[in-house]
Amino acid sequence: MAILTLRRAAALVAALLALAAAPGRAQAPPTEYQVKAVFLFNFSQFVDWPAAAFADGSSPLVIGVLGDDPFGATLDEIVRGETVNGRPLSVRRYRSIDQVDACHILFIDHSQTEQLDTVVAALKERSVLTVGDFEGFTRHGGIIRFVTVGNKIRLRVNLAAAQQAKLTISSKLLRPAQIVAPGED
Amino acid sequence: MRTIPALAPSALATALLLGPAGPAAAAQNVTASTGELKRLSIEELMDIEVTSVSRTPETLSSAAAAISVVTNEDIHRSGATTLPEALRGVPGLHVARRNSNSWAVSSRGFSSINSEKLLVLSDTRSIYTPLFSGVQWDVQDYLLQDIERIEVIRGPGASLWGSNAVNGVINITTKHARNTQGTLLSGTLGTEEGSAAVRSGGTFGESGFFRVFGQYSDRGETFHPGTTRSDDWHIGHAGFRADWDAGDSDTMTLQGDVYSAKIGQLAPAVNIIGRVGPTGNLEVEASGGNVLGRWRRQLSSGSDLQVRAYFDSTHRDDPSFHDDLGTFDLEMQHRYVPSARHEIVWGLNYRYTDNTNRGKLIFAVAPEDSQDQLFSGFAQDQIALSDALRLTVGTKLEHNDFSGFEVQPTVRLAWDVAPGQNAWAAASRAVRVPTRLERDVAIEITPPGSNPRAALLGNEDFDAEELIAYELGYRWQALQTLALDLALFHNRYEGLASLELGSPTLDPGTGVVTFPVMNFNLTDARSQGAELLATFSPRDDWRLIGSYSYVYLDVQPHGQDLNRGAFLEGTTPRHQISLRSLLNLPGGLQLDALLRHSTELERQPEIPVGPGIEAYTELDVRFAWFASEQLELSLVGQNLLHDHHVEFGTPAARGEIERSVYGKVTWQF
Repeated sequence: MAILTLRRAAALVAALLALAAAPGRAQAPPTEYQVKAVFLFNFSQFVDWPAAAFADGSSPLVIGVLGDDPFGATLDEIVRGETVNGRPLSVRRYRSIDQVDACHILFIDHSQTEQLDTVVAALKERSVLTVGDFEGFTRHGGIIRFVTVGNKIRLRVNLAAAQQAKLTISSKLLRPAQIVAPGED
Repeated sequence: MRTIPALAPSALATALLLGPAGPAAAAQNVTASTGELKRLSIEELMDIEVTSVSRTPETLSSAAAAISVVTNEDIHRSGATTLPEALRGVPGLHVARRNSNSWAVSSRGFSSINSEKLLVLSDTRSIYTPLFSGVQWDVQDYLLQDIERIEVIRGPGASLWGSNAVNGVINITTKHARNTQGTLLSGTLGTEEGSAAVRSGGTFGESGFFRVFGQYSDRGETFHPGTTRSDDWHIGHAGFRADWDAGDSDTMTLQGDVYSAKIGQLAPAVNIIGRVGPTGNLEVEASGGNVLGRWRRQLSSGSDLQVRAYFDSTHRDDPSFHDDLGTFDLEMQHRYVPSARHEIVWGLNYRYTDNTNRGKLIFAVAPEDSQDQLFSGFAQDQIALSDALRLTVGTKLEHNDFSGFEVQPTVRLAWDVAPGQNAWAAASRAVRVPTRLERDVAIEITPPGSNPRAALLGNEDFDAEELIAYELGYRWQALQTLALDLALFHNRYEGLASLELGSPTLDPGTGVVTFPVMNFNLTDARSQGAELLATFSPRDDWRLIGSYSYVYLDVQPHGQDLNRGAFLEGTTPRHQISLRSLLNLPGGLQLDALLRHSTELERQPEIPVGPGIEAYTELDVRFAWFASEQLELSLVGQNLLHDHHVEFGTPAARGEIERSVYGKVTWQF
């Protein structure tokens, strides 16, 4: 086997160290799901639910994740200690749609692509803001879809589906979002 | 995201770090906190660039083309230290290492050291060399950590990317400078290679980000008992990238690289039987650099404009020739959405190349200097025919100095069969334009002064090679844990290069009779194949990726075909199969493996007759430990199943790839 001598490498390392010293504020960029988690939190502030969606005045506003959880601890970290209209926020995770009980914002992971029609049908009579980030999400009745355009996250909103769920979405959220026509994506 | 405030540096890292400048920006480390993000408005959130960790990028699941994406994580976990090695396991690609510094990388057949039917772009800069129509992989050095993704498009991509994207396009995208902040120190040491890399990122102005980096790699020789020459090589590489916003709707990028390499050869690049080429130890000195600028303006929500220019300079001092190439390339591209049903992209491109090639000993091109221009334009419309059907029509029109006007259209149809199921079909035409070598080569086959004389000569009338391709594909999220991606193709090639004995000519002045050997377009071919990619995630912490590629190539020479078609038929394995396992273990450990099998090559590349190269199975294993968020230690074993094995090349030029092990330390802060 050819064992290398690193004499030449050593000379270069010295030269490279000059580069390492370049000053600058180091900031790691947020990850995709970190930003998406913050969006979910924001939705709780910019969407109005009918009173019937809550058991009582102090019951929590629940953000659910259906399927594989892409957020890890981030989502819990974001909602910790937060309230909306006096309600605490809580995060729940579900493996299947049957487990979804009291829930107000439901992030549907792309692992649920196959079951999307079933999920949408099951939530039909309930005021649940469905959120997803995969192809076909709004076309199949989901309400808000995250679309990644050149490393930035955009929102597409299916208003008809929101109205059907008796949800009122604030103009602050709608203005920067793109409204999709029924049946579009 | 967690910030680890203080990390006790290991002795090695301290030694590396404590140069005259002392510890760098560690104390100023700021990690993007969710608290900061929560204070942003919806608009500001939408404006944040994220590091994409999309498991299936948006466009991938619905594209009407055979696309695979190799992500940064895929590269990282493969243990690959060079670009070609990182491409192993991609369906439809054949990656074969000829020796320590030379690879054949091809898509859908026709494997050779000059994989002329594959276009390779690095941040939209073409790294395809027009002299040989191929990629000099030995000088394509990357700090692999800074590659965002590699898109591999099998099949013709010519309508968008242009000529030579006949059988595929490899599109390498490096990270936005925002995503490489802080400092990275990385060192590798093993039985076959050693390397050291430094990268430092920072900010400037209100919204500017930059990085600078340097890397040095030294790689050892392969097993080649037949010669005392060595194929060891080393390359040093430094570069930068800056990205900034200029106003509300403009973003700018400026980036550049310089490199210098010394590369050993086992056999001369050019060999003529009966003539004496370079002797003794053979070493190539190569250097080059490039600078690229890009300006992108968002005109409105459905419309953006991009202008990109680059200048690239390469020098290669080979024992057989000295080559200098300068390239200037200017491109504009406009995307707009005129109505809900249409998305139009169109663009214009101009390229100027200035090449000087001075042959040594037996090799020569005439004229030595050549300036060539390329003008092209393309337009593509993606039309939503219905909710589930999308039609894409597009074409590229170009004029080049080698074969004149070329039209390269494509028609593609995508159908969302059901949620999680997508089918597509495409028909395209693509061309491979003649190379400077095919036009200008002037090599004496008989000793100089012979009469009659035989010479390998360029052919002014040699035309572009043409492909008509038909493709079908199907993607199916079969289970929550199982995704399948199948692509089928049938290709018909016309007018492929074939080496022919031309009509003898008499020079009345000297009385010399010349028997010319030239390239003509007298070979046709058909190929068909299938590529399957299966991704299975039985658990959150375990992913298995299987890949299978089948290709059958039938080459039909209609002329004498002195050497080409016959061997190309047999230089790609009929079947390739690979299985990759990515396993996360508790305690910050990762255990990854790639097992790959390639069936035999029926013929040796570049030799029309004789036995081929045997089938082989190989295994790479990577074991990594994240000692903290900043420090990663890994141990990688490559080609573990054999002491050494052959993958590609003629007996004289190839080396056998040896079993190897290396350790790697990566420290980021």
